[in-house]
Parts: sequence; C-alpha cells; structure tokens
Amino acid sequence: MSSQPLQRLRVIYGVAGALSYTSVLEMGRVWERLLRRAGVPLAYSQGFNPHPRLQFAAALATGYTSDCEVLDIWLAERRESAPLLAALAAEALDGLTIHTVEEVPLDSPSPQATLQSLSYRMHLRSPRRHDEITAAIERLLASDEVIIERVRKGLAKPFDLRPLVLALGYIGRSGEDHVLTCELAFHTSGSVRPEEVLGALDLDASAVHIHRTALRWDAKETK
Amino acid sequence: MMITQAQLEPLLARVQKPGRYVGGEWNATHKDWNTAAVRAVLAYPDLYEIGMSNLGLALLYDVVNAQPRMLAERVFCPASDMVSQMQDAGIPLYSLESRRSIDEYDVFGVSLQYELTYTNLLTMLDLANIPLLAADRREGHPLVIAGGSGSLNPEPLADFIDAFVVGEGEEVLVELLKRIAAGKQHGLERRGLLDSLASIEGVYIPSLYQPRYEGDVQMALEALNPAAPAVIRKRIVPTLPPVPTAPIVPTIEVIHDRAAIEISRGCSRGCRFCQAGMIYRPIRERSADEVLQAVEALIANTGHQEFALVSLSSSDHSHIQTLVETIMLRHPNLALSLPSLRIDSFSVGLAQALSRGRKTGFTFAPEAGSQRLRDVINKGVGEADLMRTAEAVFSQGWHKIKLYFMLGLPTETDEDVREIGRLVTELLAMGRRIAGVRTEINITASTFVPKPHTPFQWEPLIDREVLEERQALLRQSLPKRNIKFSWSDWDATWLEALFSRGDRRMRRVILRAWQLGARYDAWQEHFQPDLWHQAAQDCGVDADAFNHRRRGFEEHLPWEHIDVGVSRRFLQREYARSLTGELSRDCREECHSCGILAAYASELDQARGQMSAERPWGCP
Repeated sequence: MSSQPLQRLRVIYGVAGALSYTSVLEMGRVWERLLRRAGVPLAYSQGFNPHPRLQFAAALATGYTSDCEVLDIWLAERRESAPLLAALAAEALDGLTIHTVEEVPLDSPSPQATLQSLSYRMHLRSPRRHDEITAAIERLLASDEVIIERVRKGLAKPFDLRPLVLALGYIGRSGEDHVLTCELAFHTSGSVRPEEVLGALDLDASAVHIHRTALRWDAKETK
Repeated sequence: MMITQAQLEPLLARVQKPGRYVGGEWNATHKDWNTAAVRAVLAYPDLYEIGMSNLGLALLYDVVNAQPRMLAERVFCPASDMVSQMQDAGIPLYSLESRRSIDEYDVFGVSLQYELTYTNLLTMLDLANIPLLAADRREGHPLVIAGGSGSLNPEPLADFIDAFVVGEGEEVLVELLKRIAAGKQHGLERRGLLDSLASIEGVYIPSLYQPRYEGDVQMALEALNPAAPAVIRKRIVPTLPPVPTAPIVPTIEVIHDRAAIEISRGCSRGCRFCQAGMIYRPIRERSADEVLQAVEALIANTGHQEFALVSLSSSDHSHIQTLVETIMLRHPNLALSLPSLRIDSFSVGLAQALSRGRKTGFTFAPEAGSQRLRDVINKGVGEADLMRTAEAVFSQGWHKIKLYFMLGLPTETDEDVREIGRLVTELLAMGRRIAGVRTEINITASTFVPKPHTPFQWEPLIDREVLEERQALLRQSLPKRNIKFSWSDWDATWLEALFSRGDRRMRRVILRAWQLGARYDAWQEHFQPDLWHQAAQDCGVDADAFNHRRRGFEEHLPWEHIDVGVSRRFLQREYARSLTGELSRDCREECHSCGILAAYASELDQARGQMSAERPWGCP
C-alpha cells in the first residue's frame, strides 16, 4: 500500500553491545522490523517493491558504539512523540536505546545533508606513556598537513587528514586504557575515520574501542 | 567458563561479519542457567547465516525452551578466520546466549541436514574441547546427540555421535532431555545413561551395535547389548506442532531472511528419487485458520515483511489459493514466497494472488526434460502442465523463472538431455511473446545422488565421464541468450553420494580428511576434493567402487536398522514400476500401501482424536 507521508519524525538512538556488530544495511532492516513490531504506520514508497522511507546519517562503522545515531522516519498517520518513543523502546533489542523522538518538517533537508562534524571517544591500549601521547597529539595539531595513505582499488593514494580534524585531545586513563576524544569534520566530499587519526598518531594502539558521542549540524539549516 | 565481551572484542575486530558471533538478537531466549535441570546447546554445523535459516532448529529451540526446567541455547560453526582467532586466543567454542563454553552443557545437539557439513561438526567438537570419537568421551563431557535427515543413514557418523534421534524431534527430544535430567539427578554414569536412552523409541545408540563385513560389503549390524532394539523406528508427531510465532529475528543478514510457516509436512507425490518425499510421510496439513493466525502473530512478534509458506510442495496445500489471497489482502506490503511449487497444482489464480504483493521469484522443478524420464521418476507432470504454468507466471507480470533439473537419473539417455534443451527453448519463446524481451530462465542442473529409503537406493551413481558429457550436451542444447545455467560440481556430488549411502567405515575417511585439513566442504571456495581422495585411499576405501556399484535387492544395506515406516516391499515395487515407466498416482487419491499407516496406527488414532477427523492425514 503506497501512502503519502503526513509526518516526519527524527529518532535519536544509541548503539551498544552485540548490536554494534551490525552493518549499515542490516541496521536498516533491524529498524524496519522494529518499527513494524511497534505498529508504527510507516508511509511506503510507490513502485514494484514498496518500501518504507528511512533516512540515517553518517553510517556508524561496524564495531563502533554510539549515543547519538539519527534516523528520520515518514509516517502515513500522525503520532504523538512520547507514546511512540515508549512503543519503540518496548520493541528495542539488546544494545539499542531510544533517546528522543521529535517531529521535523516534512521538507527539511536529510539528516546527513547539513551534518557538520562527528565527535568520538576512543579507548585504547598503547605501550606509550601519556606524555608521549599528548606530545603526538600536539604534533599532529601543529602540523599544516598530515598525509596518510588510502588504498582504493589496489592503489595507494595520499590523503591529507589534517583539515578534517577539528579537535583532538587526551582525556586521561580509564583502568589500563588511554582515553582520547576527537571531533572530525563531515563533508559529503570527504571525511576521515577515527582509526585513521589514531594511525597518524602512531601509538601502536591495540584493543581500540570507539564510541560516537555527538553529531553537530549546521544550526541554521537543520529544522 | 563464560566468555566475556572484553575477551571477544579484539577477536571480533579482526574477523569478517563479527555479528555471527555475538547473539543478542530479538526473541533470543535467555533462561536461568542455575535452575535448569538439563541444559542443551543446539548446534548447526554451518555458518550462522545458514543455520539461522533452518526451520527445524527454530522449532526445537522453541520446544525445549517451552519446558520449565530445560534450557536450549545455540551455537554455529565459526568461519575459518574466527576459528583461528579463537585458537590463538585460547577461547573455546561458546554459545550465543550465555556465552558459555560448550563443554559445560549436558547435551550438544547437532542438526544433520547435508552430508557436506560433516567435517564442520568435527571442527566444532574440536573447538569445544570435546573428544571427536564417542568412545574417547568421559564423564562430564556433553552427550553428542544428532538429529535431522542425516540420522536416517547414521552410520558414516556413528563413531562421532553418542545418540541419534531418528525422525521428527519435537517429542522425542523432550523425552530424551527428561531422561538425561533424571540420570543426572541419580548420578547415572555416562555408559549407563546411554544404555537407558536406547529404550526411548526413535533413539539410536550406535555404540550398542557392531557392523560385520564380508570383503567390501557390510553384511549386518549386530546388537552388542540386549537393551539395543534390532530396528529403530523413526518418530513422528501425530499432528503438526504449533508454529513457533516468536522466532529469533537475526540482526545480521541471513540466507533466508524471513518468517517461515510450515503449512504442511510430507508430500503425496511419491517421486522416486526424492528422499524427503519418502521420509517425511505421512502428510500432515495445517489448517488455513492456524496459518493465518500465525501470520498475524509473526508480524507482531518479529516485524518481518518477508514470509514463506514452507512445505515440500506448497501448492499442494488444500487451501493454498485462499491462504495466499487472504494474506495478500490483509498485508499488501508483504513479500510472500512459496519455496517449492508443483507445476501441476500451480494455477493462474495462485499466480494472480501472488502478483498483488511484492514479487518474489518462482522456482519449478520438472526434474527431467522428456516425458519418458519424468514417468520413470514418477514426477507425474506433463509438458502441457509446464507450459500452462509458465504461461500463468509470465502473463501475471513475471519475466523470470527458475527451473530445476537433474542429470544422471536412472535410465537417462542423451536424448532425455536434449529434450531439456528443447523444452527450455519453447518456454523461452513463450516468455518472450508474453512477458517481452527481458524474459530470463535460470536453469539449475544438479546431479542425481541415490539416497537411502528411496526406490532408487540400489542404483549406482552416474560415472563422471558420462555426466560431464551430458552437462556439455545440455549446455549446447540450451538457447544461447537469456539463459543462466548452473550445474553441480562433480567432486561435491561424489562426496555427497559417498556419505549418503556410506557405512561405518566412512568414519575413518571423514576423520582422516578432517585431519588432512578438509573444512567447509559445502563451500566451493573451501572444498578440497584432493584431500578426500587421499583420505579414502589412506583408509583403504575404494570410493568409486562404492559409489558406482549397483546394490542387489538381497543385500544388507547400512541403514537397514533404521525404519522410516516405508516398507522395503513398497520401495522395490516402485523401483520395478520405474523401469517400465509406470506411474503411481498421488497417494491422496490412491493408497499404494507404502506401510506408513500400518507402522503408525497409534499415532493415527491420536491424530484422529486431536483433529476430530476420520482422515487427519493425507492418506485416503
């Protein structure tokens, strides 16, 4: 049944535990099923294979956890945010936490279109002392360019990640782990992964765990 | 030992599809470990994506966990990258639910569905630190219990398995687990417990028997203990158990990513090559109301949008058209598939009903190209049926169909193979006329493997040279364009045939091949036929002689002690009729006295009571 969307809602959710090993495509199906279980009246596309319209922003890499994932859904009937949030929470599988549900105008840009940056917290083990790590961070931030190699179709290409690192800092230790945070610019033309930043710091890092903490949008255009 | 997230995380970061190894899916059951009187881990000897597509596993998981003091969890065979990561890190095979080491369970219950997964079972046992051979297991090791169609010729795995469940597991698994719980409570030792399990109907304890050979032929299987029954009769359930309506919803993509409803069990057609058609008798059908209720419950509990109405022959269900129409009317966005359709019971009406929803594919199995050969195998489908069916499909908006054929069937000649080419050419021309130039026909030509408990169980496997000539001939006779053609690899067929009818000596071949490095034989990219040839040679088994030898009716077959309710007399009669191309009608219309009614008289009575019907089964 194809249906005209009457309402658009933005869901902010968190991903942890087993669920973090889900690919972007699979996360789409996880959500479709969750929304159907929760009885959300999704608007379906027209066509040969009608499907509900869902929009995510900035795919979360497999293995990362997050507190701030975004999903826009289009509904064929209007729903109040609060009961909808409760319905979603009741059907959420292990590792999925629904933080907020709020209405956005039907014609607002896609959640990814106005995305400015992504922030991460990174836990890792390293043989380096904390002052060595701090020094490596300072060196990176003081450089005009930081060239890494990216392999595309078997060819290594140089890439300057420095302009995309908006912030990078050493927070301290948590048990045996060193904890770093960073804010990385997100452009449709290019972005950098937190692991690439860690690689550029040359920390000989192991047992890396990366957690997405915030998305920042262009304030003017978001709503 | 429980495996912690911190222990796993570094491994998961280094393997493909780590979602296979973490559990946490919607509807996964987590029961309390400490209060469970008996704990089983249900194993499927293949990757997560394959095992989670198996309906039987979902059924048994549901049945066991519905019992108050029983617990069932799951484990699958890790892929090779994960196996080496686990070995390097010293992490044993663990369950997905409680992430406990497998050797802590009372029962390791493995589902045998396909011969080429047998080495995966060894990989799993090894990774679980369970001795591969049953004889080497001691107190405290889980009982390794196997079920599934593989247990209908259990001999190739007999030395690896403590107990086989023969037939349908829904009732007998619970009886078995109750007995094991009681045995545990009374401190029964392993040997005593196994001996006591032998008295449960449908349970086969291979260590209570010993084969006797003369030359290369097994002459008999002798019971070593008076507790061991001479014949183990398969178990059946009188009526279909309730649909598991809250099955686990995999988080990662699996092969059959859908909700499945078993609409009937058994098949009335009696195709002579088909093991499923013989071993899943009698026919039991689920009422339309029950199916429709299950659809609603499954949508609410899983959120699935893809549904399959599963049966050996979905279009044979008495109310199939009403079912499909009703489901599509209520849920127009559902993608509904009927995985196995009979050509002659598929109607324009059914095509119409299906065309209203999201279009899934159609697969039909004419099996053979010529009417003569279709009569030999008792397919009972005429060319007119096929043309009419294809017309219905093409005219309802589909432009792609899949056809399934078999090469190497008994009495097959080159002419039969050319007939496939002619048939496909005509179908394609019709498709282009009706559905346009985009019409495409996918042809799969598998190779006939003689299977136990079928009328063709005495037949030799086709010779490699003849088969490969016929594959080439088929390729030449097919149209050149708008056709996709795939065929089975000889070595995989050869191995499947070897295990299908193998006796206990195959145990050494399996173990040797695994020791030589044979892994994931069902996966073409991992399959190393050379290792199997070497293993057979090392063990003194002449595999070719074994596969290509015609068995005599008087011969003792290695699965003679397994009774599936279909009599040897019936199989021989069907074999004789095949040679003259004589058809045996659909057994819902005419009883051929296969033996099932006589063998299961008390189950029939129970079914009559449960369904308040004089004829609760498909039998007339």
